[in-house]
Amino acid sequence: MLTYLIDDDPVSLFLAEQVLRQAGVASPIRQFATAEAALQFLSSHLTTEVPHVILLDLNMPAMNGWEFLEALRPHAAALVGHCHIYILTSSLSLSDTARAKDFALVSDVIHKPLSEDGVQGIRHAAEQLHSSPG
Amino acid sequence: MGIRADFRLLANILDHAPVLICAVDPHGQLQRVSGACRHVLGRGDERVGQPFADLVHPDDRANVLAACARARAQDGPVQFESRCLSADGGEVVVEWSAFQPPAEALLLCLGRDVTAQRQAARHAREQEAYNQVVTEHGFDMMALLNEEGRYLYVGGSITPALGYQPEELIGRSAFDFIHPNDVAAAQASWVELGSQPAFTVSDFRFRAANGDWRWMETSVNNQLLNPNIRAYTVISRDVTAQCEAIRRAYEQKELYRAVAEHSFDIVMLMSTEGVYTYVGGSVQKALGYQPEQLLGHSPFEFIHPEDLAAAQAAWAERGTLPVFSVPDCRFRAANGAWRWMETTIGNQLLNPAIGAFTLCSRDVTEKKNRALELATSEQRFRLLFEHNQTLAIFQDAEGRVLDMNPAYLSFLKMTKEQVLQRHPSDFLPSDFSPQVEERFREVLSGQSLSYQTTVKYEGVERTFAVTKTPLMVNGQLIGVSTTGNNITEMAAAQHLVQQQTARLHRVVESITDAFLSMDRDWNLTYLNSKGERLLRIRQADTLGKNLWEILGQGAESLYYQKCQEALDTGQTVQYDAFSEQEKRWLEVKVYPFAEGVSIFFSDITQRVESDKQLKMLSLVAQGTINSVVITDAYGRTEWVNESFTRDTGYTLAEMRGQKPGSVLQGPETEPAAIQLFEERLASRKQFSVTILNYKKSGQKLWFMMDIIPIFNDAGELIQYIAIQQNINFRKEVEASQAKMTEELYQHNRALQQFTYIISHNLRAPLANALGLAALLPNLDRQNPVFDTSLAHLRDSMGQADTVLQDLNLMLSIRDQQHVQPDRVTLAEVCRQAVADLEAPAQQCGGLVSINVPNDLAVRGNRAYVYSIFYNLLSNSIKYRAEHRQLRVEIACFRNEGGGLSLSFSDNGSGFDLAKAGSEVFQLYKRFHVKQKGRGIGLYLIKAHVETMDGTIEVTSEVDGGTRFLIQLDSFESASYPSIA
Repeated sequence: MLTYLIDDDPVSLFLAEQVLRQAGVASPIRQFATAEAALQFLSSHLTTEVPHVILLDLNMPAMNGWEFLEALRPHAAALVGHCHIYILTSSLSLSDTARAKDFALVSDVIHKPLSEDGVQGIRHAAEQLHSSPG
Repeated sequence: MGIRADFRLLANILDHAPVLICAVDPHGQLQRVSGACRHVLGRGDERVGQPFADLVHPDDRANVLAACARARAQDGPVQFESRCLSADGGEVVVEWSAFQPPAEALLLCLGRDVTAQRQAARHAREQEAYNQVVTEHGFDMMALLNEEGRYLYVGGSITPALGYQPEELIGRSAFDFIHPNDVAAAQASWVELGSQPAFTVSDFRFRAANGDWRWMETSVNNQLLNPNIRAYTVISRDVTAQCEAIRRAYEQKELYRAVAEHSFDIVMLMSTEGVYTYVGGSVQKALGYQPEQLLGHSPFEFIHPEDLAAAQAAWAERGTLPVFSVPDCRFRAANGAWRWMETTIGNQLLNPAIGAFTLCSRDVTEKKNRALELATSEQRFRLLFEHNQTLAIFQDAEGRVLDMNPAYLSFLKMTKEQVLQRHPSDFLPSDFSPQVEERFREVLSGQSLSYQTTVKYEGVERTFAVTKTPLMVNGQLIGVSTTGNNITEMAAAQHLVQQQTARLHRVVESITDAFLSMDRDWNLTYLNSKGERLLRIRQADTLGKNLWEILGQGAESLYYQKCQEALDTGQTVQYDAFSEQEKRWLEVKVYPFAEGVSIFFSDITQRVESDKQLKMLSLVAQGTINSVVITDAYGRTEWVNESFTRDTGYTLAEMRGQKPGSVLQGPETEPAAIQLFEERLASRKQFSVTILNYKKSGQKLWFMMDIIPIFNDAGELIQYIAIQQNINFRKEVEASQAKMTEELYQHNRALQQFTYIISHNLRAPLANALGLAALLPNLDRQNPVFDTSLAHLRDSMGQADTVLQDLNLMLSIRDQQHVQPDRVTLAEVCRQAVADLEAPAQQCGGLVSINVPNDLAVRGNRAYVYSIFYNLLSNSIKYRAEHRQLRVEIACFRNEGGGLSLSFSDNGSGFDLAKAGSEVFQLYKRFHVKQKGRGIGLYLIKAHVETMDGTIEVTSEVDGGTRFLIQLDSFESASYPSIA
């Protein structure tokens, strides 16, 4: 379960990776401190390396999470069915949850901090995706 | 000649000749006298049977009787002259010729009135005697003539003789003065005898200066060869008197012919070949021909072509009739005119004394023309009768129809045969006949009658103007002529006019105003019933009478003066007057016109009373503190109260006649409000409206208006009353409410932002802390991750604390918004901030230039101004471009509006302005990834600026630097926003 973590907050990145490892995720985890960096990497590896899971923070300087999702729209065809994007935010605002529904690639909104239960849900969804034919 | 034979025929004609003809029987008594006797002597038929001598002057009677006796005795005529007595007692000199026709018992005396001639002769004789006395040498003219006959010298005796001055003749030819008939003979003598030493020229007539012709006897002496004279000497003597005597003698000899000449206009003889062999001299008078001009010509040459055939036919059919008439024919006179001639021809071929036809012609042109005129007028009358559209009928005295014209027949749809000799009552409608018969009887009295009548014939009603005229002949009524002119349409038109007049009358009567008219002498010409009531007089009694006398008002009365004024000026005069009788106010309008004046009285009592009420209302309105405007029905101001003037600055004089809106509304008056006002005004109901007006001074003025329409008894809108309340105060309250609302909105926004901050920026570190706290129990203390997590936990809690501090700061700024501001000197605060950041600035090698004049100060909070400078400079240092030296320029200047502009620019890394958009100044928005920051600096700067009523703008370019431009009120000009 190849996983990308996108967050400007180093503490958040550290915590997310530790929780994933604690939950038994052994597959590679890539960390990106800005959305621009993640977008660049992702768009240049669409054919070689598509992550199974992306955990995306919303509140970031320069490009925020929403802007990242907008920028990803052109690649939606290559990602759909292969990649689950989870918004991982400290915001409890319902408006953010509602807005997330505009993006088909977003599987769910997870409120920080990421818990082991949350990781199990992600892993379950990823495995279903993985086991499904095609 | 043939006269005797035709005596009877001609007797009648002779009767009309100017010659006096008296037939005297052997006893000397008159048997017959001609018409001329009546004219000349004034007596005629009554003389028949009386002695001829009685006609004559008593002194001449003996001579007359002697002459008559001689005439009876001898064969030829006897001439004599006598004075006769005219009926008026005057003397008439008559030249008589008496002769006894053979085989007749009667003596014929033909007389000619020669009174004038005798008088002329007497005058001539007197003149001659005089001339003989004055003539020097016994001749009347002595002259010298050259060979051509032109006068070289004329003796002075010519003046008394012929009236010429000698010099008038000098140079002129003597022949120019000789009668045309004589000049040829005179010239012949001149030519024939000119070479002889002396000769006589046959007597000729010489024109005297007065135009008379004088017979001159002339002898000529040829003195051409006499060197002293070289001319003909001519001596002439006036022999007119002698010539007259000779001529008279000749005439007497020719008397018989003269009788014929006087009896007829022309007497002529014509040969069997049809040419004139003798023409009487009277032809010259009658037709202008000389007798010899006609001799040898045929009469037919002179007859009018149209009459020629008839004349020739009569001539051809003459046979052997002794006397026959030729149809009247037109004969060409010498001047070319056609004269109608009546001609009788006598066949005297067998008379050896004559052997010719005698033609006696008389000019009957006048008679003929009259006859023709008569025929023409009869024809005309007939045409009128036949073709006139007017119905015409002739009846005899018994009423029987003698004639009826086609128009009448067509009206009756009958033929002439059906009506002739019948009575009109036989064919006119039975109900109409009695009237017709009565009218007929009336006209029988001899008076013409005209009347109008309406008759219904075969279902059609027609109106006729009928004229009946009695036909009188010699005082006896022989019939009645009736004409009937169909005036149905005219009558209808008249009826219409009558109706219209009646209608007009009704209109005038229905004028609610009292109305009268007078002529220029103040005589009443019309008064309607309202006027009768008002003036308490009756039209029937007063029409045509002097109004002032009727009313008992003199020249001093107002009515009289106003009427006189209208007449004098030609302008309508209007005034109000109180009628004591009626206890009413009247508006009097006097209209002058050509024939006088007309006067309308309108009852304006109500208006006057409403005016009074209005005045009372005004008193009330004056007392109120609200503005009151009263307008007419069209919205034009009639009155404003003092409060209005106090509120708006406009006086009644300025407002009167104006529409208030046009005076008071201004640029910021909402069009929608004006439209609403207009719409409601049109509804004619009371309404209220709030509208922005402007005072005369230009200041805004909020009015809440109550508009009340006022109606009269007839339900007509006559006025509006507008009561206006000055609600500027209320508007100020509203404005402050709006400001409060705005502030609340701002607070609400701040709360929303606070929520956001809580959800993101405060929860983020707390969420991390929670996560780490959950992680730590599962970690082995020896695991390095444990220590890292613990450190992260500490950092996260620190972050949460920082956010809480920021929130505290933010809220404290908001709370201090209403703290009393100070004067803050920009230069001083700026230098303080720069000094406090000197260490980090120097550390990075940055240069800060300050260009802030010392006198510039803002009204605000010193701490905020410091915060602005500090945060801006701090940002510049933090986000400087790594590869170049930092330069910061701080400048401040006073701009045109009186405010201050603060410019803060650096050459740092900048940011993408398009990307940042409206979020530049938002809390916790960060645009730089590399540098650490919380995204609170710009938020604070903007909050500080806005707290001081300023604005802030930013321009930036990635790697190009950033510039902030802040507008602040200067301390001097700053004021709180006021409600305008």
